[in-house]
Amino acid sequence: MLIAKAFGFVGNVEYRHVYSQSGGAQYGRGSTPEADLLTVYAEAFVRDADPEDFSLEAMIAHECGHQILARHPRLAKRVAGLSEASEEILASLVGAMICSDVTDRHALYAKATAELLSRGQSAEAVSRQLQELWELLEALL
Amino acid sequence: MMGTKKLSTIRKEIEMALACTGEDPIQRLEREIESAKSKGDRTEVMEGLKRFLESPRKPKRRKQRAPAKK
Repeated sequence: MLIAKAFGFVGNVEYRHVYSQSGGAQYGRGSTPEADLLTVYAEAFVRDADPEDFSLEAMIAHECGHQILARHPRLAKRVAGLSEASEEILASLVGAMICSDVTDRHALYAKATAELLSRGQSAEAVSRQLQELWELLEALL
Repeated sequence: MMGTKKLSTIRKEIEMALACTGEDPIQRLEREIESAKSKGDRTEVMEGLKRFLESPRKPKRRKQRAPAKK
């Protein structure tokens, strides 16, 4: 909970001692920002303990990125209507922006990169697009 | 949603994509960073990716976290 609050999360944070298909954490939009819910699942801690996987902080930063996309007045309108896959890419970039730990930031860049690569784009095009998106988000936030 | 893909799998996918021309992935990123900088473009995402690929499989550092309230 402290980690989510440190990233600026508004709303409720809960832990569920179950294995989900979410990968460890999930953002749920409520009727107001205060009613938003960030759920952390058991596998988040398994992944955090694995040196070859995301840290708990990186996972929570990504979910906080979803809240910022959904709630930030200048971003929410632009993001509405985007595909789920596109929103995941942006959430990773916003998550990277709010991460103070550079290793977590780089891991979230990597996640956004892999998501764009899976659409069949070249590595060069992906790098260029992510840099453009980063600068756009920086200007809007 | 965070997704279930492990960071190590993501690393392999990025390395494979960057190596598709036969070039070393890190050298390719270095070349792209230099090229972007010479045009006056920003490069923090590419530099972050390069750092990510350069520092694989480090043991996880222990972070100081507040103890749970009882």
